[in-house]
Amino acid sequence: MLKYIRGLFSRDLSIDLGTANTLIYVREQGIVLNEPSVVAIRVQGNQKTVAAVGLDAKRMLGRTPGNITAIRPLKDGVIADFLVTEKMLKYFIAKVHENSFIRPSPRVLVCVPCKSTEVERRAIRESALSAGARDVRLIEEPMAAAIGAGLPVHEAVGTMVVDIGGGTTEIAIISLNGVVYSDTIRVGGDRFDEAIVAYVRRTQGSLIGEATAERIKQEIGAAYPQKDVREIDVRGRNLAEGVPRSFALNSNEILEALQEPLSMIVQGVKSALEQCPPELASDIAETGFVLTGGGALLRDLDVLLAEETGLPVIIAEDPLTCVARGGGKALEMMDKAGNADLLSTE
Amino acid sequence: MSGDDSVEDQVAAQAPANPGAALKAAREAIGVSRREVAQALNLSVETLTAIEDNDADGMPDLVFARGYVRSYAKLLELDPEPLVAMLATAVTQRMPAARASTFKGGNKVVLIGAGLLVLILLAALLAVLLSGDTQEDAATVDERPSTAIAEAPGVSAPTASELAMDDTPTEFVPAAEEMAIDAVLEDPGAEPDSDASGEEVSAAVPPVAAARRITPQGDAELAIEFTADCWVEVRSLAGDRLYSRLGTATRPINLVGEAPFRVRLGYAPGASLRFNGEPVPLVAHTVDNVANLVVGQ
Repeated sequence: MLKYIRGLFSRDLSIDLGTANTLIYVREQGIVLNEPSVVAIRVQGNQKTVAAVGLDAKRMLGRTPGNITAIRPLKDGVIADFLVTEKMLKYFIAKVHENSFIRPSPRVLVCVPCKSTEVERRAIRESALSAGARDVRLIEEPMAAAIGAGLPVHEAVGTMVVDIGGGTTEIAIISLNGVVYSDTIRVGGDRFDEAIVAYVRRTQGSLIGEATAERIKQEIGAAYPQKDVREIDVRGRNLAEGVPRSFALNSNEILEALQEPLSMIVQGVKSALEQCPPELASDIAETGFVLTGGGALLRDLDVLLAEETGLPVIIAEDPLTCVARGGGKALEMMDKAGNADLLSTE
Repeated sequence: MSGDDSVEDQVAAQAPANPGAALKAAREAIGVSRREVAQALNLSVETLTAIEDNDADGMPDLVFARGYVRSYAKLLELDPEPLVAMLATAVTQRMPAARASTFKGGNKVVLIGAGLLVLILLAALLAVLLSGDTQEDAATVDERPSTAIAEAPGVSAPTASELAMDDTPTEFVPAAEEMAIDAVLEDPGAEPDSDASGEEVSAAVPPVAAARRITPQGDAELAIEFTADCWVEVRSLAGDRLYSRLGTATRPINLVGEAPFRVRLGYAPGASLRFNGEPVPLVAHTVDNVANLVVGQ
């Protein structure tokens, strides 16, 4: 009852609980929060307290003293640390309702990977409920991504969406508000970073952190050979000498570093196309497929996929926020249709 | 496919109204064929043509069209964002409201539209039925053969070529009173081939029109009213054709010009002629329902 009253003072939220970033979409307001899914925990004796969440915590990643650990509570799109996820969600929900006097109790739609298990989904649901949500609904990420990208999911036409997130790549073929085929590949932005770290270690004999690897990826990373070769200066710890050293990397080297994770994505896309029902395959052959998620921002990834599959590939507008926006739209669609189970995954 | 600055400047300078034209200009500027671009983007030539021609019907959903425009611009090394923004406006302008309404609440709009259409059609039908009665009355008063109304319009007099010029629909016959109003207010700009929907509207609401001038000088008035369809041809005494049209009950003819006029009426029993307000008897000039006479001599 109390939750219901508190709910009157709360706004409906759509949360994209991603491995790398958490985005919150508020109805009629748009994306109101976009922060890294990182929590810094301070340990004092037996007591654990939250030192920072989101952007502040991300800055601490790899730079923390002994009593603080900056952790990412989600791994491969699912909850790896239940308690920390709950704390993080509570913090984000409160942040969205900063101006309200009463403790919020919103209705929440959370996006989940399509290959997540029942246990993992339950964990997400429980986590959101513990964070103060009065009603939690789940939607599969590629469905939300497709809605967010503006694809005609309600029509009897096959549409394919590839959502390259931080931890996973979700590939789905959608028709008539339902997922016809879906697959999750445990490759995403994080794997790109790891591949860069490994490459630098192998070729330069230096160790770089994940944050540096991410910066390299964002600045010069490419999925297809570039006409203009870009360069970046990086500092890392030389493994042989044990001292920090500066060295240069170019975009072709990063392309080489990313070959393995990229080929896994290409393979996943091809495999989805192979298993697609023929009618839907013909629809997809005509219109192509849509890339969403932060991974879609990797330079020329669309060119690579178009060449490998022979299909038109388009990048959704604002691919980073597609899932959260799509979740918000799905929430509205559910309300309009008067059917709470429409699009819902349970 | 080298899209240097000059190409981009050239495209920007032309400032086309839609992204398709800009892309086409850029493509042609670097001498690449449509097929080559289609192959590079894995698109069909038809889709590419639709994008270049800004053809809303041939274009895929807006989300895909935007993606294609973005890829196309990237291929030609143009800045895609202004083109994508332009596409949204171009498509919104081109897409009729009806197409957009098929998404949300489209059924309601269609139902209301259909209801209105049915009402208009019913009103038109009622007008036709009522006018049928009054016509018969008018015919009896004028002592004209009542069978004339039921008979087919006069097709004997005019030549085949003359008939071919006119395809005016003939389904609506309003009341005689309305005809009189129409006769005085004939539309000067009315073309003989105006469409059927216009006729529907004129059946329900009489058109407001003025007399039509057929010669540069002269104030002689020639008014012809009809109870049935009748071919009208007005020539000068020298034989120059000044006016020709199929007169219908809904479209009386009112002409102003320099007399005399040589008038030919294809179906004289269905027409009544007035010259400067005075009725002109047609019986004496009629042979086989076709009247040939000279007025104002």
